[in-house]
Amino acid sequence: MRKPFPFAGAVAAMILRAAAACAQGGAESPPPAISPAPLAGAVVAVLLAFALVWIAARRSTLLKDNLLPQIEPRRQPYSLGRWQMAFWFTLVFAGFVAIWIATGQYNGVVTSQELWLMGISAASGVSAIAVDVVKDSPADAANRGLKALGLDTYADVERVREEIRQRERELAAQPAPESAQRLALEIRDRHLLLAAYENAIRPFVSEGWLKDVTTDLNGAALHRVQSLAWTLLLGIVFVVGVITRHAMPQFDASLLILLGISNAGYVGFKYPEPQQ
Amino acid sequence: MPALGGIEHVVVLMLENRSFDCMLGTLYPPDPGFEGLRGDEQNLWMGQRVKVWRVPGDTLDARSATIPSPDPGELFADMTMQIFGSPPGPTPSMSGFVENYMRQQPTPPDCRAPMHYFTPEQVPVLSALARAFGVCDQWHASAPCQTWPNRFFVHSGTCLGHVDNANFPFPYTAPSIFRRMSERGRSWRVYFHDVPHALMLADIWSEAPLHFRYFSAFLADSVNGTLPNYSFIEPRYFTDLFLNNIPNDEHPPHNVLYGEALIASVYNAVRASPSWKKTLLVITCDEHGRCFDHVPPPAAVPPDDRRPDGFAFDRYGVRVPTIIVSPYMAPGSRVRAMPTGLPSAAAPYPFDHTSILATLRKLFDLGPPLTRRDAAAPDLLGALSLDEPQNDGPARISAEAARATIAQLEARGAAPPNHMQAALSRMAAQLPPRPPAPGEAPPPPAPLGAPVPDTVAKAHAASTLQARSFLGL
Repeated sequence: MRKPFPFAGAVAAMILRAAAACAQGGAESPPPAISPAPLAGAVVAVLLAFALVWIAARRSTLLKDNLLPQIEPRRQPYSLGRWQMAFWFTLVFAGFVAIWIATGQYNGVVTSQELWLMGISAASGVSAIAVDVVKDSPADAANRGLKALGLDTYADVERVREEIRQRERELAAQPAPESAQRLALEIRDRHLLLAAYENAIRPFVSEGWLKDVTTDLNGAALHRVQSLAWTLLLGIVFVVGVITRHAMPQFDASLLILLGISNAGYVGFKYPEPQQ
Repeated sequence: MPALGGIEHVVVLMLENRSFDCMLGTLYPPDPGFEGLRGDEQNLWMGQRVKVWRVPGDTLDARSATIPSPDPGELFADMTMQIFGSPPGPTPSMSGFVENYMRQQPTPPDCRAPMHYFTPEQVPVLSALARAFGVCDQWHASAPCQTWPNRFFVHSGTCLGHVDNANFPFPYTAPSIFRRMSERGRSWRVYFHDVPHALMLADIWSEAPLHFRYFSAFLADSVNGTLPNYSFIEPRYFTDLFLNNIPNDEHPPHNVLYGEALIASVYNAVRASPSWKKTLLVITCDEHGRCFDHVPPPAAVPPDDRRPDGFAFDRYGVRVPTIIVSPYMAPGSRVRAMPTGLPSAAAPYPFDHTSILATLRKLFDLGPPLTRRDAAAPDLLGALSLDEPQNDGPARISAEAARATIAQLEARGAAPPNHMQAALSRMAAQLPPRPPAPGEAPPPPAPLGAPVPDTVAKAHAASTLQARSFLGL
């Protein structure tokens, strides 16, 4: 088991203090206390928003690259670009709902900074998808190879598995020797096909969220780590701001440009990177 | 023979199916010291003269590098017609190439295809090495047969009397040079790209996982100075859609530029090796691939008395392009068994693939010949004429970057397997799940009867998995 970073607690506390200071954006009067019922409602709404996005992310290709249609949705790798879009959408949406429920305010809650955040993440997501479509990546080669084997989609993989099961049932019924030999060959051929399929998709199957969004086929990718780190840090600032001020934080232009630059770096480096 | 004590590593790169005239026929002007093309060689077909012709262009492109397309007839009967004409004459006349090509079904569109030749500028890697070191214009395929019989000759000095790929029982049981190397404590490796044909050799199955490596390992072994005594390199036979790889075996109609790139990478690795001064590199083709050559194959010594298909293997195959690379080789050498030309039916015999066996036996003290054929074969050591290993040749050779388009890859992947790919696919399908333990007998030979997938892509996927599984890679 990996040893935990020994100063993690102290670093987290420092980040939170800095985030709170950043989110307050200067000396202002403390926010009014919120009564328990709206607070509970806000917490439930926020949790619900996160749960919905989480479930969709797990069960569908909403946050996944979907580079190979031959991979079943739950095994598709997470996409950093799509994940960033969902991250800011969820934070801004949940923050808005929480502030609305807790304070009754809905006008002026979303500031231009939040719109910029969502715009930057959306542009990153769309650009990442565009890069995937335009460039001829190892995933495209795998896709071509699998199609040449008759596996156009995951449904074809399921079909081959069903054909194996069907032939195994026929074989179990002890047919004539010639039929048994034919069935055994057909089963073997289909197992080989599935083995070739598993070999081909192995580099493109999800290895968990963190590894998917921080690595490509060559391993850890700095441009991905950088983009993820700034997104998470500004996300913490955002959450702390909403909790402590009951308002969405004011990010100054430099912070937004910083996020934009790190995401642009991610998209720029994505073009030559081997794809996971 | 100064090289006898100086050579510690022999590297053989055996490509597929190109004739000498096709690849190197115009390397030098024809003269008594070089049996090249004059330009007026011809075949008659339907009353018209079909002359040899130069593939147009200064360099090859994606179309011209795949001539002849479609692949000409490959079987023993086809080659007999190519060599003896139709109706067959009493002596080899090399007059039946066009006739045989146009008898293929469906009928090929261009009767001239087998009569083509490339200029030295069109195959610059092969030509540069030939000029920098030595070219052999008296090297014949061991048999007027397909790939497998000829590849078995290079490994075992015989092919046990089988004339076509499809006729071989599986596994192949003749003793191989690799086994002999192991018995004498000499190191060897087979470097391959996808499915090594040498897996047919049952006598090395038990030790195969120790000796078979992907081609990338050859590059590393060369640079690291860890080449074995004998390296045998097999090209890529199949299109690999997953890695965007086109075959580099030069088998028609595969693009010869990929073969050029492979030759360059092998040479560059050997040249950069700390063992360069002690290395002999032989680049050859297993057989002529039905591409025209004007030199009639002479009579050969039958390797043994096996004749299951009725042919005694008493005649060589068509000439194939062969380059000998070594710092002991004088630049511009023309390597010949007999400087003034060869008799057609007696010693001295020309070089053939068993000359590699003769060279290995002599270099590494491997004991008696494997068969009567390699006993009669001239070795290559006499051609290494320099007293010191002083010909360093070019420090590096660049090959023109050939890059397949997606459409070309998909077309190759969707094509039906050629004879070689089909035979390899059958072989891989019949490999046992794992090699036998040392001392354990291989299964008795049985017909190669496994069904062949209908496309190259499917045959490649299945057979590479089976070979890899057998080798534990």
